[in-house]
Amino acid sequence: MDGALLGRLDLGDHVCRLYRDDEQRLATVAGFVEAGVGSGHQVAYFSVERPETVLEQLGSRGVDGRALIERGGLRVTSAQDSYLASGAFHPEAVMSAWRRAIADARDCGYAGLWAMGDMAWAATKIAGADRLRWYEAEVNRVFTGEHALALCLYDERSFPADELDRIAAAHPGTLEPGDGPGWRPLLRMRRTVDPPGLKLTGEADASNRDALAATLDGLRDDLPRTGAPATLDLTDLRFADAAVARLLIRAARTFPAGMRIAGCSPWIARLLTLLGGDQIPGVDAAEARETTA
Amino acid sequence: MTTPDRLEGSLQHVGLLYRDDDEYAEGCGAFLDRALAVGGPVLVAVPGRGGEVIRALVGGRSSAVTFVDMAVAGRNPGRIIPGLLLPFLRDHTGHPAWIVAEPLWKGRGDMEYAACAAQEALINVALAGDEATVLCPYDASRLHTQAVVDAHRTHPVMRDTAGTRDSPAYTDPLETAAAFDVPLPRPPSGAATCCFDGVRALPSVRDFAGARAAEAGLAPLRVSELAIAVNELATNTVEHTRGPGRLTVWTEHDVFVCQIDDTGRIRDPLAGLVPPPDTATHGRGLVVVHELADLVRLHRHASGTSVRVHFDLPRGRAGD
Repeated sequence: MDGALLGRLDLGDHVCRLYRDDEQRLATVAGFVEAGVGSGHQVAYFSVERPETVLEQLGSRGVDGRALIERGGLRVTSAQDSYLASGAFHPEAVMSAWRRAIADARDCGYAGLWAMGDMAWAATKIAGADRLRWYEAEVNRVFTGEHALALCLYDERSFPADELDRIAAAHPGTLEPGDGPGWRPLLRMRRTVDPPGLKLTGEADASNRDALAATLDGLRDDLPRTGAPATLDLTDLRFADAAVARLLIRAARTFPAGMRIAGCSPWIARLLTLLGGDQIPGVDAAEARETTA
Repeated sequence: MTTPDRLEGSLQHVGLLYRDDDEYAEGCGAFLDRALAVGGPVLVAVPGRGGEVIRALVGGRSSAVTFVDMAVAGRNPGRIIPGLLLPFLRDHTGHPAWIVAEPLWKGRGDMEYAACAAQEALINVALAGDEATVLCPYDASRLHTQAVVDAHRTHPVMRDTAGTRDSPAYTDPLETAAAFDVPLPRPPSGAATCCFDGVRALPSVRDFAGARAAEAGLAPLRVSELAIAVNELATNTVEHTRGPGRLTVWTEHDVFVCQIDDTGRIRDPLAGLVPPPDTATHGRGLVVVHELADLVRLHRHASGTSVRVHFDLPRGRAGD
């Protein structure tokens, strides 16, 4: 099941994959590698096991990891030998490494980078692990461009439920053990170039709000400085809660050149108007009132 | 004995008992004459025909008065304070305000009554620091007698044709409001339920409520607004309580009803009635629910909290 489902991932996604046993984890790892390589992307997997072990596991699932590595389509690196080699987790360094890896994949002619990380180490006492949630929210800024996607593997047996909820909320979408074949990320966030801004597709609520908050906060640094207002495209946003609407209003008020909303449907216009966002260009307050009168 | 219409820097909350149009016109007219004479900001929020009576009284001076149809703006009594009174006061900060607010009329259902009465009690708390005079007309000839009894409990000052006097029945408004927090009637036995736990259950809660509301005939935009309201209540459950929540939905008398039961306690008696500061991202969930729903009933009980919201169905489309 994982293969078909993971094949639906799209550049820009950042997914929290919760698994409850090794079988599930291996199915995801193999499915991700197959789907990523098969669609012309480079796959980078930061594992907790040794790379040789990962290759054996892939082999047991019929994926010839060694051949993929030789051809350049797959890179397997152990976290302990790379970003945790210093004995501590440094989120900023990891994000820089992701940016370099994305650029490398593009330089090598790939359509983009599919990044996967086994986060099992985060349940240990490693220094810097307390910054994990900040990292997971902030790293959305790396992946909301158009050249990479990421999937983070979390063992739901290793984290308390409320901690897991907060980690998951830093991802726009979460794939849970019980999710069926119709699954897709609850929210998709994409930075846009013309016009410069952010497009939201899907639903934003308490289960993914932290991901959106960090992405909105980062926009002033992540969008080209054109001096023009940013465009928040809500055409395909199917749901937002009150706290999300307040995040959108705050972003519109604080973005240096201001923000306009495109595709503001009557329900979101009504919600934004109720919460003080009626002055944002693109929010038709009159329509919001009329349609509910 | 007469009581001055206003004391410096404080709220005056006056109940006006009337028995016919003449008494209505006389009581409201005297109040508005005084308000317009001092040039204060004036809001008249009364239902339907009362507005016409007052417009006629005010005549050429009506440009100085903001008129609102209480039957629409106060359809849900829970938005009278956050959606009507407080915004008017904020818009006229620094100027003592004069408000006629008639929250109750014949035809308000029993379910609405407790919410109206609680609002009347809580006006004394939510507006305590505001320079405002609020006159609440009560139709003593058509409302049930308990409504008139309760008006004496929720207004520190009462007025009728005989004069103006302090109300001995007026006591601590928070205790009075709590007394109106009566148990909700049981949902019908065949009502559909959906249990939920954790933030990632929220999309399925929205889908459950939205699909059934659409089946019941609620218009598409109202279905979207119902999903927002139900989601805010369920979000409160998953973010602020330890246990799971239960959503129950059904249709009764041209109304689509949703009830959320959880093990949480809402300690702030003004929760949802006073918006948080403009800078806060959170804390607006219940305010939004009050704005979107046609009625909100919140019941605090020994094992938790029940919140029931009504969405009126287009007439003739109800499923029962």
